[in-house]
Amino acid sequence: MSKLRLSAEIRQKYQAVIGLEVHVQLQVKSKIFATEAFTFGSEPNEHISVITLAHPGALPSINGACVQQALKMGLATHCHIPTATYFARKNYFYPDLPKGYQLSQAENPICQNGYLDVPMPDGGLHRIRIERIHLEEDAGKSIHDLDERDTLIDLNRAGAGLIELVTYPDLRSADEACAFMAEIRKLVRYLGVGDGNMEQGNLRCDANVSVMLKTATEYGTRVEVKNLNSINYLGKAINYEIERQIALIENGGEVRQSTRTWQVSTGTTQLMRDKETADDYRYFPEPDLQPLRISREQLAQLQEALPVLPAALYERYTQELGLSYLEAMALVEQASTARYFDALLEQKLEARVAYNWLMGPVKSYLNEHQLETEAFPVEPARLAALIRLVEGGKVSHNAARERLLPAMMLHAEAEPAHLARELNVLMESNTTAIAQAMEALMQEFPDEVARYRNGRKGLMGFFVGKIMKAFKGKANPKEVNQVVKSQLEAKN
Amino acid sequence: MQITDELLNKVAALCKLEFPGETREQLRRDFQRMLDFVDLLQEVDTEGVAPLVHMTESVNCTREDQPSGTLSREAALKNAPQKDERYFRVPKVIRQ
Repeated sequence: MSKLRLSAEIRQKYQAVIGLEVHVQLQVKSKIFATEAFTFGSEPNEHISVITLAHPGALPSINGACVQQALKMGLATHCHIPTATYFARKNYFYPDLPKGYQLSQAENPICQNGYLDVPMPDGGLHRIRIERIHLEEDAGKSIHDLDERDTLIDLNRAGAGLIELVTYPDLRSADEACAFMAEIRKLVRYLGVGDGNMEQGNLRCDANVSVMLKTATEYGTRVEVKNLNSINYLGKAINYEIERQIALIENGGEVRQSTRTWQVSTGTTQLMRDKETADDYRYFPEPDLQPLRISREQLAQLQEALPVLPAALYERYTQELGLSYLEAMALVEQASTARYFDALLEQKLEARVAYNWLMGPVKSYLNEHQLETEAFPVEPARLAALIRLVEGGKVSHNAARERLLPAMMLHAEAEPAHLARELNVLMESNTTAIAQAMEALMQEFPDEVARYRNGRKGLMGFFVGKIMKAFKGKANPKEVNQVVKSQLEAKN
Repeated sequence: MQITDELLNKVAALCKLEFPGETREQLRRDFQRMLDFVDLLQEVDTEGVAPLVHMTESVNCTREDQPSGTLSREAALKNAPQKDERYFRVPKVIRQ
């Protein structure tokens, strides 16, 4: 059963309520409470220490860089940051957690009660409240499918620094949840807090989903859905879960508090455990780690050093520059793209013109070569010089895109105008020559002229094309259009 | 607080321990004595006293983000009851 069929009418009766728990693997060099390195792509069990292995007497210590990363995320999401915070033990048994407990935070986490304004496709901003962000360590990896008899344990990831961000149940649809997650991914990348790679599990997300009748005043029983390693799966799993719960209720059943996992192969969620077998984590304050005191000076310094964030850029692009939701979102998706765009604007280019060049020729080059914007071989100032040649009618758009831009990539030093001359793509401004050519054409094609004058306005293109061809593309199209039109419209 | 059979079972399950025969009754008695002691402490009036979470005054004992202290894989795997050249091995923990 991969698809549940619910009539739109039944679906309409219900409101979905969604909250997310997001884990971000912190971009730092060593683990959060153990001292060894944490890097990707290593051989199994290469990055482990006596702390990670929970050898008797081994004591943890706090990686200051992880604390800074959590604070940056908290400041960027408008959280309250308490003056003191401490760690807790979360007790559970699992083979990839040698200590038998995870170092985490329970009460009084490092960031509390924030929010994130998320741009939605309707152009508005939805404020999604954030309950908390806390620091914790990751577990190792259990590999179940490599060996027939045993589960294999790789502890490289055990003890890696994470933040867990928990939202209030403020999301109302799969689309909203996906938009929120996309915004979080952008944010961690802009801040340098994490790399945001969901496929590799460096950014993870669990969704708490419930449904309620639209007339109801209390939320329904929630189900936690795990194993969502892309924004696409997040959306699909939430939609599936909403429909499953509605169908269950409509058939007289009852949603039970439980944890389910998303099954990629079937496109469904599957029961993992229900409330009766839910873990009892027995949190208590961690005695081996001293508390953190966070000074207001430290916060002010971090705040000062925060980069311009995607939300601020989005607002400027839509409000001040008049770009649409989709255009602004495309620009802010990567910080380097937004930076390049802003650099073009500094060259006094019009926003629309800069956008079209950046998202057209530049983006297609980057896509083709799988590069980030910062790796584009032509700097903003030089691209702006090329754009000005086109805007000033000196080089046709086509020639600029197809010939001049590629030449500029090869010759990093050459002036665009100089290159244009060498490539022989500079257009001649020669109204007289164009007018003469047009006169000759009108004599050669009197029928077409007559038909144009009888209303077949489309024939203008016929003459424009002939002239462009005669001038080998070097005539200025605007100028040609003007001359052709004025001569065709002239009363004889 | 009374240590009931039910509570004893729950704690044992959480600890992944079994208490066969006489040890169970012994454990129940010890457990009860410990809780009785805590009950005694509960009688102290702590109104207006902030909880003492940590036993030292030191704060912000953070370290630099510099990797160190890595064990070789060979040394790390040395004491594991089950292993191969690269992994710790444990009985399969999920059904497939």
